[in-house]
Amino acid sequence: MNLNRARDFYSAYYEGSLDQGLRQAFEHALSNESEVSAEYGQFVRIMDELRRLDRPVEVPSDLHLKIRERVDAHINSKSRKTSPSWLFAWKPFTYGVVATAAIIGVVASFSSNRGSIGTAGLIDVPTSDPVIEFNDGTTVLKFQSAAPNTVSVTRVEDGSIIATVQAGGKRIASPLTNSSEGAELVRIGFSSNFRPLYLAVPGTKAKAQPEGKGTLADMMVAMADQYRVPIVCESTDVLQPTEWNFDQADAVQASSDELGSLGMKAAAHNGGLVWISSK
Amino acid sequence: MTDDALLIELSQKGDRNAFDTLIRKYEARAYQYAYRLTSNQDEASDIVADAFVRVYSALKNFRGQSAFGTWLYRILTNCYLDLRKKERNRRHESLEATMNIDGSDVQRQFADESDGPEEIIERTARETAVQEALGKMPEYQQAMLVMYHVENLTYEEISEALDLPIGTVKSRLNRARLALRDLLTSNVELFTLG
Repeated sequence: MNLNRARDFYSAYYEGSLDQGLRQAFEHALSNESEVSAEYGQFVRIMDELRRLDRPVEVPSDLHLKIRERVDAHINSKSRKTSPSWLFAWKPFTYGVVATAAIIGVVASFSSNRGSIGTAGLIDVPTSDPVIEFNDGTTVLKFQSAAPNTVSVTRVEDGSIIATVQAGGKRIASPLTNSSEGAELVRIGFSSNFRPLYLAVPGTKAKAQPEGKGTLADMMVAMADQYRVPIVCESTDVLQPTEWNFDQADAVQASSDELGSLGMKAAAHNGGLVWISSK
Repeated sequence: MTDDALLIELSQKGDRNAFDTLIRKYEARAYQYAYRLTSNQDEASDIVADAFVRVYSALKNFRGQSAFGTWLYRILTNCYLDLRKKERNRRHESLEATMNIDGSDVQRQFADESDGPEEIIERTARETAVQEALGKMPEYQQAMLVMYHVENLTYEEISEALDLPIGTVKSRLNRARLALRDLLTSNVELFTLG
């Protein structure tokens, strides 16, 4: 066994895992080849030296703090990064009879834009029920409340509150914009008088989801992605299971069978918005 | 259910105290490994902190196919590889700088008071030479050597941590050992018997 061949067996011999025949050949080389003997001797000392490195190293006293800070920063940055994707740009303002709308949280940053938002669909409030309209690609929530009322927009997927508006006056209207790529589903809740509404708003990019299986909520998101229109549902049970196959060009027709089996129906509103309600 | 399994399950459910306990349990071991790869306190701390961020992010997908400790080694190794990759991309640091050895730390760690001054000097020189040679090795070989020889991981554990078949671990480890020996040829007198 020459030096090059012997090198292949240094590790196995050092660990005692070389089989008998090779071990004998290797030991013969060790005894008779001075180069092998010298080099293997160095190899062993280096391996032994490596093991000496396992002595405990002093751990910095602030290591735990540093880890915690890094993890916390990650969590915070993640929530900051993901918030905009949920954010429905809630830009309330008053019209008609002067109303007072106190804006909380993220909405506060929009207060300087009061009155500067486009006027599409903001001409009147026909009923006291909340209305969602879809005009020129903009989804607008309108409602009128004689009594103080709190409107909250909650992301259904994780229950996070996106915006809260205290409407203590008569009427408010707010464009709702989804800045994420895919459709998002929110629950619009009112502190009194009005039923909650579920609203799926298309995202910034087209995402075809023609077939699927999941909950009614999933189906609403898929419809919004597929047909690029807002989908509103009055049902309080958007978690009931369903399947869908959007094989028609019209969203209402495509969803009628699935919704029918859930005891629901869909109707087309202005701009193509789909409103789902009980039969 | 093991302590780790319970802590992981609680952490997966969002229990920050459980995750904190998990960090406390493994941070020292993680630091030892990172320090032996980098020989630099700041880099080692950064690697460990980054690794626990990655653990936090990926914990929901951890299914316990391997032990948490083994999984952590894998993440630490990846953090180390990423750190070196970033450095290479920046091209700001020389190879010598990346092998930064704090001489006083090395001496403080490895001095054995039972030896005389000459033995201490000689052993310290050997250990420093090994550390420096490790620092010159390809990162993967370096990690493998440290895992096996210093962290005392088994072939099976290294196989899981690096996602390599055991046979590959063995053959690569042999190559790494020979490469280490080659790197130490200039210091051969330190490792010659007699």
